[in-house]
Amino acid sequence: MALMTGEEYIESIRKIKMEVYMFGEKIESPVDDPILRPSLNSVRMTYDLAQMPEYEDLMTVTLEDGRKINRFTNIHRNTDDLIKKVKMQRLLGQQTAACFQRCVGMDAFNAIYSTTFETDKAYGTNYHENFLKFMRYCQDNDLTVDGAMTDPKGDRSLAPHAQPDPDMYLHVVERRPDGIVVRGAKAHQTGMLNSHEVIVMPTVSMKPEDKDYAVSFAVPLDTPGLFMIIGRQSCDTRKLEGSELDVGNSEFGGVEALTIFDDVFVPNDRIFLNGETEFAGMLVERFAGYHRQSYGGCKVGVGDVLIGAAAVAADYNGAARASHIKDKLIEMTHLNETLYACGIACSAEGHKTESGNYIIDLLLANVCKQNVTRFPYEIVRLAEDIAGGIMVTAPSEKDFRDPKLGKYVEKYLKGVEGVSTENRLRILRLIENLALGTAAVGYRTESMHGAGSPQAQRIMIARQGNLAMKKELAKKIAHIKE
Amino acid sequence: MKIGIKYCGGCNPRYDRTDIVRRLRGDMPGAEIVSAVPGAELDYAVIVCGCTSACADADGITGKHGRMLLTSGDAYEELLERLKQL
Repeated sequence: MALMTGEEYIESIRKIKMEVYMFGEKIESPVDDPILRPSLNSVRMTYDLAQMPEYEDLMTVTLEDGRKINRFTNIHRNTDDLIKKVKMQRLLGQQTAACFQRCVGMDAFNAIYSTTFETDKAYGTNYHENFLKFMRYCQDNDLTVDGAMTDPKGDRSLAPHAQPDPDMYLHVVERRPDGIVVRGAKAHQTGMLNSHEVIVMPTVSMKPEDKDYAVSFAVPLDTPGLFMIIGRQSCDTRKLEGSELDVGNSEFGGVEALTIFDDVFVPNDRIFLNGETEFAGMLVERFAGYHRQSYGGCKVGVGDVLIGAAAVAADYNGAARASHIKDKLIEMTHLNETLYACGIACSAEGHKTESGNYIIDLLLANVCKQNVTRFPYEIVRLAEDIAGGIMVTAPSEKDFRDPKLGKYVEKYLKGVEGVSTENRLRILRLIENLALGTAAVGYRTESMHGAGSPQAQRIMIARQGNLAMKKELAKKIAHIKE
Repeated sequence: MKIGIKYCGGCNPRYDRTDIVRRLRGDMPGAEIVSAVPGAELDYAVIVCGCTSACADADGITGKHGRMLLTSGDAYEELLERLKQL
């Protein structure tokens, strides 16, 4: 099957009978729901751009066997693939100003590819073959795959097997000749709703006592027992008001869901890890590494839009020539490009795994993500500074369109001559959307906690930082003899 | 004349890459302008890159009379000159 068009993708998702709940009600047609649709449109862009000659160099990969696939289903063959992944993510961030959700599956693909290879080598299992079959199915049908890692975790001081409620980490509850039955939940599942398949992975390193929790597999989204409860986003119900202006970004968005696996059956040929606890940590570390690289692309693309929006707001406010405004835009650019530099650097310094695919430099990927936990916040702060308080106090579109009130909004919220009040409101609402509206979920808090919270990166930086070598350097320069 | 176009992926272009092709269509109305794929028979290939990193994968893409790599919109006049001389 050829690459899907955006429309074909949407219809393919429509056909999946997934179980979705929001505001206490079952959503019969998530594809047509006004709160959820923008998130589907964001994933759609990964299909639309792949069809366009001016983007296909980043969006697609032609394999050695001649198959042309979407880069989101690619196994990285060299450092150039790793670099192009980051560039593709920047492009999509620019085009959507939102989370486009498909990265997590790509990162799961690459982490599982190498981990199953090494698990099989140690145990004689056939997980790699299982994964290759699944991967080929996804590539040939151009599927979107969610990667589900984060368990609810309950009491963080306790290991999975020691939790008072054994379901706080997803685990195997039954082993049958034809497969396994699993129970648990995965939190914060970005894009699960818009995926054809989900890959489940463990969320922490494990010891032998956690055997039932060291499990990885893939199932389709309409698997019995799997259902989603959509997470609230700040200002989400604005999308129900029918105002294009007030939502800031009416076309694109992200979505997250608490996903429940209530005794879900997984057939044997969809299992990628089943009790080999020492490989849980490898899978987590590799997935996290790839995903920390991802943020050096996607958040940069969204940052490009926010920087642009702040510059437009400055133009409309008549402040663009003020030196402090220029300097703030420079600072925003500096921060954003620093993130990009980290994404590119950890890719360029990548290396081959035993399985043959390429992985990023883990130290640089963790430095990348550590910066992502900070810089978007500062970029947002500067955008709010430039935009002015009106971005959070402006009246609604309904007031703007009102026969009596509209003329006053038009008159008193006007900026420079030659720019309509409506356009000024539009750019301010876009900044609001990214700073504290629905898109802030993706641009701010996801930058903090997505792909691991800041402390997780600091642990990795401590492990990978090569401090012993640095101490030796210092002693040598200081002529210390011990 | 058959001119093949290969774009980079466009992650951070410094100019409107598609405008190059629009202008070519206007300035060379008799030319057949197609998407370039490796091995395709072309008279000339144009690799349109949005910045100087020029990361487009252009292996196997060339024309009978060669190819030109663009990393700036300013290079359009030179491209047009070359094509008109063919």
